[in-house]
Amino acid sequence: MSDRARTVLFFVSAAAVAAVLIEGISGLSPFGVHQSAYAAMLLRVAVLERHVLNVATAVNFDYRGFDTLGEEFILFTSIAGVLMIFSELRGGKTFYPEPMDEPGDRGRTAAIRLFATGLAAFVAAMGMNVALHTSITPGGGFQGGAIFGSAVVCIYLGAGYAALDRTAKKSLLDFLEALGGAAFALIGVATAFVSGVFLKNSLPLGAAGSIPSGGTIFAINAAVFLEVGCGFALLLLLYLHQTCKTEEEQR
Amino acid sequence: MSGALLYLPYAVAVWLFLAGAYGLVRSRHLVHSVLCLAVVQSSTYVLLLSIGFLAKAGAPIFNPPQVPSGSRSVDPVVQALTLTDIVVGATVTALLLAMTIQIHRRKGTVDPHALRLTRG
Amino acid sequence: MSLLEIIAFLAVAVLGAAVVATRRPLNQVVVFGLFGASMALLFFVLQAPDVALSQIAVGSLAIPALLLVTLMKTSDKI
Repeated sequence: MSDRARTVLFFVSAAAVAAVLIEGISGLSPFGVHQSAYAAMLLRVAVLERHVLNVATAVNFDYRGFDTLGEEFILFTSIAGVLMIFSELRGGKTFYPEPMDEPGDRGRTAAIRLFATGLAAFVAAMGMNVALHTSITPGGGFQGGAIFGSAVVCIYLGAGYAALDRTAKKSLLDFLEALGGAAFALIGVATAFVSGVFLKNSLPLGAAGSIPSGGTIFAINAAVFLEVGCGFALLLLLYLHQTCKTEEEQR
Repeated sequence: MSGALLYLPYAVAVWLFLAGAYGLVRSRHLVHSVLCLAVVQSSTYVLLLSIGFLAKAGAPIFNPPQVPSGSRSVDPVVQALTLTDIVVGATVTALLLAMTIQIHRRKGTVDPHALRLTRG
Repeated sequence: MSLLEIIAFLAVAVLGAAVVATRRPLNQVVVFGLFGASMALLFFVLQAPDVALSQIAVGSLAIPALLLVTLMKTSDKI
């Protein structure tokens, strides 16, 4: 099909899709006018029932915990896919360039190295902080894990890939990521044993406003932080590994 | 006029969806098409959060003394759905980019028009 | 609808179109970073701080890093 024919076909079908969407959206209430019944009910009971101040977290890990389990498995599968694709290197050992030897590199000054590596520690701590305060402020395992994984990029920028390879081991990150995913599923199985319902909140709830509140919400949040944090770190590590030349390319 | 303006968020969601689809159709570089796909995904986030919004209401996070009586806060369910979706969408994008690198290794090109199943 | 909400929605729409319209992938990475920032602003305006945190963490660091490495590996020059 030629370019022009494809574009014409697109515009025709886009018009049809737009018509259907507009028809469906006109049935929605205007922006910001009504609140859904499910939301009203949840807001009324969530803080009292779960002792958690962040209702979005309670929804994520308790009321809709099963959906979050499914999303976690999507994340795990995607990272496994990236691992498989990158596991075949083109022949020979990897050649790690020293920071000052890379072609076109104007050299990392001492200030950059100091600042970037310090920043990496701060970013990792910030990620853990965000994940820990899930029950009382905006935060949670997903956000904290994404922030935590980004510390890998800070180390790479400050010290180069050779230093990064010494700091972060792929096998350890892989193991911890799988452990996090398994922990979420095992918490569900354990709650099924204890209370007869998969992922029902069976731990003591704690005081609303303290960090370890919410029962299984806190435990599941820790498992999700482990998986997402180590998953993102592993992902970035695999990609940054691709910036090194193999021995063949070096010659 | 104000009545029509209240449907602006939904119009933005539809616009993003169709613009991203147009970019996908006319793309000449696989990385460009991956980013257009990300724009299409963003349209769903905008739609979800717009449905859950309540005017003059706050975020679904409360302080202990003011236990909520069920009103004046935006919908927490759509927020929970969207925030997991953003993170998981990023890893799926990573998978697509890894496949792009692999395609470049095997075929030497990332132009979707040059990659056909019927050729080599 | 307040003026801030209108501006946030329009910024998202314009930057989304800009991401699609930018042809060269390297320029598109920068525009995509801007688009992500405008989305985070929109999420804040819509009273969703959790979602905005996710968007900032993912759209400002992880995704551009992945994109830059991909562009490095798929350009024929290096």
